[in-house]
Amino acid sequence: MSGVLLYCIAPAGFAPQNMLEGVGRARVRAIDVDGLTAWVTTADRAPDVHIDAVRAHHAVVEASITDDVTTLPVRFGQWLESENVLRTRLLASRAEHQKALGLVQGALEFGVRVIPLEMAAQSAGGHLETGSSGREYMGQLVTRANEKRAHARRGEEIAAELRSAVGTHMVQERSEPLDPDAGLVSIAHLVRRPDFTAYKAALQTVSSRHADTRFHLSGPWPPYSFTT
Amino acid sequence: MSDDILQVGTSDVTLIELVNRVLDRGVIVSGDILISVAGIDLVYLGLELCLTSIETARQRNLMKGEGS
Repeated sequence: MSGVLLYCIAPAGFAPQNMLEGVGRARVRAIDVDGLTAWVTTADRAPDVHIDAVRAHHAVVEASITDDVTTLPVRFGQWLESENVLRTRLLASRAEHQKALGLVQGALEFGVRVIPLEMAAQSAGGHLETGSSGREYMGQLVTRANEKRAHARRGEEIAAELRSAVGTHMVQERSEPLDPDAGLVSIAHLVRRPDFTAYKAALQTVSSRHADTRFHLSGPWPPYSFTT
Repeated sequence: MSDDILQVGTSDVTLIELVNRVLDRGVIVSGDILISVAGIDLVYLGLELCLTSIETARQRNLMKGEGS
């Protein structure tokens, strides 16, 4: 029996359109599992990791989302050795998926990556000078720790400011601090469709207060960050 | 409002965000998270682009010499 590659989890009975293709141009089909519908393709093994495969996976997830239905995106490469294994796994986590489906209905995800215009020349992740005295070395460690704390604190402050500004226009937020050479903070907001315009306007208001910082907005995305 | 301040859909950022989401987020049912191919961590796979972002790799302590 062939294995299956999983793309997304949809409400019961919500099946893909005919001829939709996934990774390796395999035809996407539906498997119903007690109140859930899994979108899969037949595959003998996990896919090779390549940007084309990543894009093909994402294209199926995007195709699964309509004005009326938001599905749960599945992480790339979720391959199971048989349909029976898939059914068993989905049944075991059925309640969790149904709860997540309820959360994301009518909503999509926006990403905000906050990046200072000038990255610190000596980031908290930089190398320590070698050949210095023990005192100097310890001083560098303290400086590095202080920089890292200040960096994290600034990211938290901006995340809080954003939360306050867009709070009424979003359903949920996920944020994660970034290393100094990658930016300040990466934030995902789950936003209902009718609130898209107000959400973006609120975000622009916050960004205008920070001339030294860029706010990179991306989306709307399938709700990859809100599946649990 | 200047687009220089709020950048929407910048291609590089969008690609990073796409890869981050597809490889690092979303439902997991198989228990096997694809983080390497042929024993090589995804972050080291060159291909046309790095297939996961540096910060994600660092958070997973995948970067050699870090987190040790």
